[in-house]
Amino acid sequence: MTPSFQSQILLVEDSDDAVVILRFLLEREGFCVLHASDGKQAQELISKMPPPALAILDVMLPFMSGLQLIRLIRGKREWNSVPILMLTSDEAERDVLDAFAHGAKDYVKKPYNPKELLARIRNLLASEA
Amino acid sequence: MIGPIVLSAFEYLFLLYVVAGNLVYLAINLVAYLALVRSRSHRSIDALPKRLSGLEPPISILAPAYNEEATIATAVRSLLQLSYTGYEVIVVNDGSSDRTLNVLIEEFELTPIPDVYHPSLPTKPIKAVYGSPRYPALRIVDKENGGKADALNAGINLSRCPLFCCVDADSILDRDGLLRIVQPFLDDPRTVACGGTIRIANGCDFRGGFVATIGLPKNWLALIQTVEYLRAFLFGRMGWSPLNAMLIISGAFGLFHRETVIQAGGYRVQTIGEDMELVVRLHRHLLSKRLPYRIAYVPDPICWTEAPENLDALRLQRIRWQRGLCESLAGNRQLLFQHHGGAVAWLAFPFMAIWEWLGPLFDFAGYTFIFICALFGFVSFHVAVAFAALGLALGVFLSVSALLLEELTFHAYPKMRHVTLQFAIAIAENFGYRQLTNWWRLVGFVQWFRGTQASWGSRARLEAWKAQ
Amino acid sequence: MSLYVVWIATYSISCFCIITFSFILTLRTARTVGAAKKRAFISQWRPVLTQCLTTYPEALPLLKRHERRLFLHLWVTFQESVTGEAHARLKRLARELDLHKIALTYTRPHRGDLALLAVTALGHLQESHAWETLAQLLSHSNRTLSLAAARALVRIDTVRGLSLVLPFLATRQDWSVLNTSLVLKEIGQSISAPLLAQQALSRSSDVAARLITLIKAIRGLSALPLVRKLIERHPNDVTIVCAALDLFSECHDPRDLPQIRHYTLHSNWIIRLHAAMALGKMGTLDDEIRLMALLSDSEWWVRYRAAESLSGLPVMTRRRLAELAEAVPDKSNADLIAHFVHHADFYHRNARCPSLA
Repeated sequence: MTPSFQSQILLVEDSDDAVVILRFLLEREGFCVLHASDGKQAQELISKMPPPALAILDVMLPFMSGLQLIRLIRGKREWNSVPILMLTSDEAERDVLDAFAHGAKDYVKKPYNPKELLARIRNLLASEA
Repeated sequence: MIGPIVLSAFEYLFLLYVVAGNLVYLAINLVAYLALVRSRSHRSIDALPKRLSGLEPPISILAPAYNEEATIATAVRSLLQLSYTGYEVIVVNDGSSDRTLNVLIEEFELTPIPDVYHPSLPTKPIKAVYGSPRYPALRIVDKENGGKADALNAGINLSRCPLFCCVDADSILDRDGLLRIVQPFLDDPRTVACGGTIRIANGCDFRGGFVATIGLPKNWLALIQTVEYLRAFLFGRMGWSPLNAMLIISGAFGLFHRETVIQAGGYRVQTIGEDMELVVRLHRHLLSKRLPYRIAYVPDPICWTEAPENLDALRLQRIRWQRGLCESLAGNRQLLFQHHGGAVAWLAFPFMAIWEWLGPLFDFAGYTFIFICALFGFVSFHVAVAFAALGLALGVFLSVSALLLEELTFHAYPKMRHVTLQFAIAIAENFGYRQLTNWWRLVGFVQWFRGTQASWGSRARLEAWKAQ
Repeated sequence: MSLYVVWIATYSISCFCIITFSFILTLRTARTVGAAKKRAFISQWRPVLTQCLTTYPEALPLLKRHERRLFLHLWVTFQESVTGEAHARLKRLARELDLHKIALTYTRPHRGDLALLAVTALGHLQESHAWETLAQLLSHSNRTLSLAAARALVRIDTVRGLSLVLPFLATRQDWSVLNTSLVLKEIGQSISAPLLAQQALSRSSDVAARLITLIKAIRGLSALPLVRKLIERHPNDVTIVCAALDLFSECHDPRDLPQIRHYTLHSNWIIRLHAAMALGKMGTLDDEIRLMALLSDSEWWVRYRAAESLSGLPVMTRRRLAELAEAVPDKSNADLIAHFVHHADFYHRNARCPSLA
């Protein structure tokens, strides 16, 4: 499946360098990336914007954890079906379990293989479509 | 004939006092510099991808509150937003006479919960414990009034984590402050306590309960204190900590090993400077038990506190500080030259005793002596000016070296204007401000000496709470 | 005479102040200039590195001498974020820019954070020429630098590196368990955990406990048989037994249950405490009776943790807990159970308080 230009992705990640890398990878695939660098910004974006095709959340975020954000997203009716991909550091095995319990669809461990990340994203979008 | 000889003996003594004091300061400065450079050398790797895990020990944050209805909700809200994996917040309402408790109940939808705890430390009775279904990490303890130390002890009793962190309800922590202050505990299992740097919040902008932009205050009194704080923390603390001889951890932000504090007897209730007293007593307790330990210090700016902006509040604060210092040192004087006491017993304690405890007295004696001599013509006007100039130069020198340390390490104040302003203050504070604070310290010293237990009425208690 | 000295001192100190202040101003100016240079560097090089994530760039800009430190930092950051082909392409890029040679000249400890970056980069580049230099850094007093060297060595050659690093893992108390575990995780627990346990068998109890804590930090399942052997040898060593109990509760291997149950009866209360906590994590309904017995323990914390573990047992219901609370002879101990019942209800989840370490 080739993603259309309309495919918006919400990216919540606080490290600048990580954002640069992810944004590059995603935009190259034709996605439009909306970025929030902390939990509060993400909350504002979520309350304002229409549901995106996908949300990528870091587990550790300022102000609000990734898990809390999942709960927030799952609590909104229009956003209920947005697939969520979690970014975790390899130390946090429990976070992964918690994330699935809260309704995340998939996760990628940092450091990640860019190809694998993109393949997982495509998969998630295909299964939603 | 005897006159001039006595005089020159005094002159030399005075000179010796000044020079020796400054030499020690200079030495601490050097140690601080080396330690700071060392700790900074780890930073660029820290900036690499986040390395966190579930290995950080859980922390109980203890926030004692007395009549804080105006600020308590915001303070607790930002405490709940710190980035740390396992921590709980325990607010201890120390029998406030205002609506502190009601504000908390409304804000966080609190209900009384059955809570079990082990009363390791004696405290005033606890009336109720409240919990919030929305914030599982938050508990509020409502107890009868017993002072800040008593409130902290109650918090220690209720905490269930191996470490506890005491905070002032009115200071602002950095979001990752806990993460940074816990590092010494991870790096060295012998760590029993760790202090952080306190900076002045006046003049900074806050957004969502955290510092957004750092600036200098407009109020001149607060402005002077920014330089004072740099001096006190950058080398006052940083210099002593590599020697494991730090005697003060500010009550506004410190992390402690719970069991060790309980074994040392918790916070002492009948004292004014309970924060310093605890640290001095920890040293004494652990040294006398011959237990290996470390009391560490994290130099990154971590906690922001509101500095007094008028002379009255400042006067109360300084008198309290001096009284607290006197009580802490006098109450633990066995630490002085304690056998196997190391740097803390043989260097830091004597230094604090001579230059901080008795310092105001010596300063006062020196000034009076020179003044009287000049008045009666024992000393020429020229000599008096020379000594005054030396004192001034040394004062400026200490401040400027603190500014240099700050510039080499954190350079937290972003603009060139901030640097020049602080240099101007380093000079200006020697004309008036320093004498004024020294005078207040003397007043504090005298109050302590005469043992005046200030009437512990409601007003005094409020002042005591506020002047922290 | 003394007056003369005083004036000389005053003058020299004042001069020193002025010099220091000019130095501060110079530093500030240099920093402003440095920030501008950094922006220029980032705008030129970050696109190059990002391109490397997907394809190798055709032409590379010239890396200026003053940009080497910045480049090292940026490159290491990228290297730590990605794996796979992107990782390999970034390596090729660095070699083309002679980063392996440049980094080798920066490894002297007095370089501070630059040395740290250089050592990390050498590890990512798997630069075998750096072996000797890195091996020497292992014993350096700077804990961050020495640990970074350890990480680089095992990256370059896992087996050889590990054999070099292993003795240091036991003796270097200043290497934090957290950071050390990250290094070991990169190799994988199946390789490192048995080696750690092997070391623990021949060491003093403090060192052994530290090594077990490390095994716990990397969740070293493959070390469990050796650790069991270790506590058979030292069944009453408090530090070793507690560390082992924590490890067992982390690894959830039912074969360890009998041992944990056995330790709930130990004479040392700290061991009983750790055993009670471990039962809470992996106990079965059979353990109800053991935990109930611990509710009458002489130590408050053992009673508290026993109540907590009781409430967390699998298939434990509210009703059963209430029954158990009824059965407790001492009212204050019944309160402990009530506390956890309420706690679980109140927060709508399984009660898990931060553990007492």
